[in-house]
Amino acid sequence: MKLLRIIADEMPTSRASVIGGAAFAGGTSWLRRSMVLSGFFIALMVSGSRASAVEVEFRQDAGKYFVEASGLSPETLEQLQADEELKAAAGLLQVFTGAEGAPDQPPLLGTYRLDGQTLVFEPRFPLRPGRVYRAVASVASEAEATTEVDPSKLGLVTIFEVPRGEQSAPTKVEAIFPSGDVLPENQLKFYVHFSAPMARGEVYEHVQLLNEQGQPIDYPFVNVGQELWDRSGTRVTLLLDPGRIKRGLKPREELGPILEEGHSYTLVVQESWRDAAGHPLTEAKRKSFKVTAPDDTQPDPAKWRINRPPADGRQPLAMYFEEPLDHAMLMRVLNVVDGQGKPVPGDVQVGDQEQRWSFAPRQPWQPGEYHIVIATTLEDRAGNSIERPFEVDVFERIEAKVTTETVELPFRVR
Amino acid sequence: MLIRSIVAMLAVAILPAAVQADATEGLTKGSVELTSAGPIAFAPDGVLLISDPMAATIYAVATGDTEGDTSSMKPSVDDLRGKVAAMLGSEPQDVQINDLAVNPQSGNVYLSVARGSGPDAAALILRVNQQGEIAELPLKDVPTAKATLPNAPESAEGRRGNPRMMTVTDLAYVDGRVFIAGLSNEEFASKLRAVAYPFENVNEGASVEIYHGAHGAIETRSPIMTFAPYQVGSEQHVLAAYTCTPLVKFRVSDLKPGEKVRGDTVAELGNRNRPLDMFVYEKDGKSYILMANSSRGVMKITADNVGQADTISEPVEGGGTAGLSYETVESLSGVLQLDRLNDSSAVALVQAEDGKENLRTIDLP
Repeated sequence: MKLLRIIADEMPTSRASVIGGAAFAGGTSWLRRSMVLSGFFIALMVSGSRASAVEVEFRQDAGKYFVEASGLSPETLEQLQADEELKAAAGLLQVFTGAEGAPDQPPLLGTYRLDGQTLVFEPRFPLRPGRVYRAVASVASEAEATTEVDPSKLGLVTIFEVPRGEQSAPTKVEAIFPSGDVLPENQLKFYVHFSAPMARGEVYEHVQLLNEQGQPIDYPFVNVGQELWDRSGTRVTLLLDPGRIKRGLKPREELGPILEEGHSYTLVVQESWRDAAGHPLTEAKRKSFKVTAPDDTQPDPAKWRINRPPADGRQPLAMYFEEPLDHAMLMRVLNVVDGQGKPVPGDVQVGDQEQRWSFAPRQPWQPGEYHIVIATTLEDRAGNSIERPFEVDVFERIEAKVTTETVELPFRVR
Repeated sequence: MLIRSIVAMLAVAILPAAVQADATEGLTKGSVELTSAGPIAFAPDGVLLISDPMAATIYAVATGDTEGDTSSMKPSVDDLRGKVAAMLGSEPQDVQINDLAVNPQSGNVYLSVARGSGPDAAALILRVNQQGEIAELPLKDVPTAKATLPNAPESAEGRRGNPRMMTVTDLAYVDGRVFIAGLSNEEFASKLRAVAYPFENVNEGASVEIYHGAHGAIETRSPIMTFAPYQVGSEQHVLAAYTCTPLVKFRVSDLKPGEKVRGDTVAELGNRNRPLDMFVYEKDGKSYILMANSSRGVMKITADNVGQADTISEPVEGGGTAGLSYETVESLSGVLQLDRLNDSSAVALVQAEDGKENLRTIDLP
């Protein structure tokens, strides 16, 4: 196996090593000139027992990349056209991740179709910016092509780097909730919000909880295997191990409580955490807080204060809580309905360290009766919900049983 | 006195187990679009149960993969994660193999796979055959049914859609019902649910809330990490493993509407540990549980006495262990995923010292 020649004038020097490492099979007969795509290099190295006019191209259409093989012989086309499932296609053209790979590297998932006289491979998932892919076309003996690719028949290798596109703004931590700097000893969770989607699978490598001496606390978060991301990949939930919050449980006895009243701690989100594009964060984010007595009381809607808006305007309705509540749930589980029970469309804002919830209607308020409908699952920072306290003493305390799924707070707009 | 106990409360009625002639009955042709791929498990007749945590939904899909001789099979793939990444056009660090399940009828290995994050995120199911060939399980125009978990995310609000999801830590088919253990990323809802298969009465499925109790009276709610059905005599039980690592048994028939059920802690398997996967098997006329753990290796736990095992009622000091006896299988290290293949072997995803994740067939210890 020998690399004949590199088309040096079309290839940045920095790429030469990539190309030099590409795997080529078969003998050495001729070299084809490459097609150049949108300013990015492409190199075709051909070997094989028989010359062919096959050309392979990575082509972009509507933001998506396809790989096309044209110049197929009439026999090959006939063979392909005879089979609706295009079973022979994989024997003619396959696409792989990387400029080179092990002999047993499986090809990209994707589907084939015939577009006139061109065989088109559509990858199952979009090719990724900045990544290198290679297409391998069989030009040696098309008539013998089968669904199994025999390396000895491979001839035409096309290597392509997907343009990186516009460099998006670097990703940073936008917010950490709860936003207050005094938290109860039985604080249950943190939400970390990012400005862009983050990589999966490395949360616990990049987040630490430090004690007053700056020492990381062992195993502070519950690791359930999967990470607690939202759908957009921009918010992760860090759940403090309930076994180390609760009194009398073995993990707490052995490892000690995570947070202790009277002490200070710092949650650190490390700069090395990668976003979905593989770039580190712009900077580390530290959230320092003091710990106060545990919070064992449930949120009580009867104690909440409502600031009624005037009619005919879009001034927000505001509600004030007796303690900070869970930020994520405040954004989701409170709704406003009109006198007929019809939901009022509007936008929610949470402020004052999660002690204020406000709702701006999209249409002006009409005079009349409204209700704020609140799910009883709504929790405070320690996981106590309207429905039940986080910790229940089954023998001594009668659980305040709330059987309804929502509570309603009425207000009138005048 | 310190009592370690589990109390389960049934929130909604459990329906009687439906008698199914064939698990593919009741499925209708449709397409499944996964937004995420969590734990997977097999129901009878080649039906694969797939959890989609982001959508808080469980799908049943008839794979049609019902033939094979599992006794002779020994699947093995070097660098499985690397190969899967190559097929998805990605690097290994951008790909997660979230679960592995062996189809007990064919011996083929199914993988629940996620690629990327955010707008690029993709989820799919891959099938590894006995030759080690990897292919995608088609989810278009297949016999399917779905169950949306109760209290699923409300309709999308705002630009980014609803942020709430229900992480599924494990699921299993038990006598005509699908049991699902899960955890929300917002409200602290750690639940074990039972939904009648094939999901014709989703909203009436049972929701069992587990309280992980100690110190006599204090209940808490720790998430179940993995569980397995286990028959004790004629009684169907569920054995559930929690973080740090109590093993708890529940009698399925005890789970009645509105009643609190005490589950018994039958083993304490040590601290600083997260159970990853478990199943029950028989060898030489005895029952065992094989459990893979995050930091305590693979354990072979004697299960014959589960039926009679005393509840652990004294604190276990110093990170120690108690209850059912077990041994750590020294020859098995780095096991990340585990499922039973046949009477004598299991399939495991094993992380080697070079960091590569290999698919291996292992002998049942």
